[in-house]
Amino acid sequence: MTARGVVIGIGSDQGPDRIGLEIVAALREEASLGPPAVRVYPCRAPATELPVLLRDCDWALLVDAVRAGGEPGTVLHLDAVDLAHDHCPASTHGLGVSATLALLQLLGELPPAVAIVGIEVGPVEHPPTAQWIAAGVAAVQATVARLQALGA
Amino acid sequence: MTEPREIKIRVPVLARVEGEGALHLDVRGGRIEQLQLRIYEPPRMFEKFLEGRAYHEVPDMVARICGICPVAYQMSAVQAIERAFGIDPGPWVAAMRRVLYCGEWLQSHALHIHLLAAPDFLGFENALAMAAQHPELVRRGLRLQALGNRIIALFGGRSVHPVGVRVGGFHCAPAQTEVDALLGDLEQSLPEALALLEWTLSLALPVQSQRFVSVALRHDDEYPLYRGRLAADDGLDIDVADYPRHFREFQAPHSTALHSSYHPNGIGDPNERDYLVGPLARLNLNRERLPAKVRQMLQAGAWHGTSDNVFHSIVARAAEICLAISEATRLLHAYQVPDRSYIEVVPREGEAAGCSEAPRGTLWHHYALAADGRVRSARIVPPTSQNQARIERDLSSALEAFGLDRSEDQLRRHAELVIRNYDPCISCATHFLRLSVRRR
Repeated sequence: MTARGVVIGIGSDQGPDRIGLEIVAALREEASLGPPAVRVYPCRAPATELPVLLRDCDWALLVDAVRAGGEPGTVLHLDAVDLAHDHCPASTHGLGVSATLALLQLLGELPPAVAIVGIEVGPVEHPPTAQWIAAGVAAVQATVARLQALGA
Repeated sequence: MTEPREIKIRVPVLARVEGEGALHLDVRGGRIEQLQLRIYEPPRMFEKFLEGRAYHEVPDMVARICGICPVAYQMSAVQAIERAFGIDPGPWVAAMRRVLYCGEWLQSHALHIHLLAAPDFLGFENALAMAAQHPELVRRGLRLQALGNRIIALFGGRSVHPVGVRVGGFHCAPAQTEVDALLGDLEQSLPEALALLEWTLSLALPVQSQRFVSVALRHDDEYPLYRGRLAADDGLDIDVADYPRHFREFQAPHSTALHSSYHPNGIGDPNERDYLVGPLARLNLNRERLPAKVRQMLQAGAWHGTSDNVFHSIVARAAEICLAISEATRLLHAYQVPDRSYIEVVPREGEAAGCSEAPRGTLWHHYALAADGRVRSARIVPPTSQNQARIERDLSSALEAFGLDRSEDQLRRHAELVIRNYDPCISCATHFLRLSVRRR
């Protein structure tokens, strides 16, 4: 039986933070992730959407912009455990990916495997380039193939 | 051209790329001489984006101002545009918009109470630490939040940036079977919501009495979500179109966000005050419109009148969760699939205001439209900018009472505790507040 997976592009519609959304939009257009067992979603509000999107799947791959001090366009492969946890925000808008994943993990509600593809982005005024998006799409396709092969 | 690289690396953070809040204190002789709070405010760009757009594009565009309260932006917008065009979508649309709004209140308030406020008042560092010892508490919050999202998706097509709202009504009406499925879950969740209210009433909340004016919508027949007149607890009672006669926006030198002031006697009068919008202000002005059971519980919990303690916002949110579930249940019990889910719209030149109660407070829109329905100008006043002066005044008194000789880390954490009561609509980086203190 094919493992059920979900690819979630995270971001907002403004500036370089939309790269996660652009990548999943490109994946949907290409329909390149194979069988219907892999669902592809955009996610603009991680705290409200991830708990629902991460249900009923065997693996999940999150795609998001990162700032890790590297060169813009660099693709990073991460695990949920890699994320720093500063979970004392002043607003519900501050409940982001790392907080939500950590919470779900504590509650035992994360899928067995969660991988993250991060794309290093530039300053706010520099939108994501077609090259970065293509690199992100390729990274997602390769990671999905790996996750499917593992039978996660 | 640089080839994209792919590497495997362990990094400590998955950062968002929006702005941060910043707080600057000038302290002299143990007193705050100056306090400046900067909050990033996304709606300002949207006012310009909307110029030249067709009226029917506005609901989808304004929904993207906020990922937590998109319905609120859509509701204030369609109300204003429909007023400008002189159209009334009718009672079915009004009722279902109220249901939709109930979903947003439920989703937003549940998230806030369980993941932000509860850790503060139970003495935990954050929601993670709390979840380790009280997992059922967090699960309750996620259940209620998911239920709110389902209500939004029922009429909006999806829960984030919903696309079901249009000028004149909704694009589609849900099938009776979809409504019936949701109705069962709503009815089952009411006892849990009432238990949540009971729990908030039992919390030992900080005692902090302040003087402020509460501002919110009021309506003759209902607890206001989607419509009403604009009221204040000093007696103000005006049509929403008259908002600019009593409320002034101004640019504070230290902030990119506009501040708002309230002028009880009109803009020309120099007497001005900061004011509070949001759940506590709504409760202060509309308590008698709550369901009887909720009023009884508040009364039994020693809530005999209004509150001047912003820490009581958690109780107000819990009461509004009960209201949202009760109202959505009541209205969906009477649901019938309509012949049409919207009325036809004929644009005309005009301008009008719309105002509704976002989870965080009063959200006021104004549009001027050309004869072909294109937007000439837009003005959007979100609850967070209206609360900014109030937040600064609250911070000033709260931090002085806390003790300014404490470390900057302690001051920052206490400031965030105070700000969380308001649940401001901001974009946050990993650390919300960059705090700078100058002591002399």
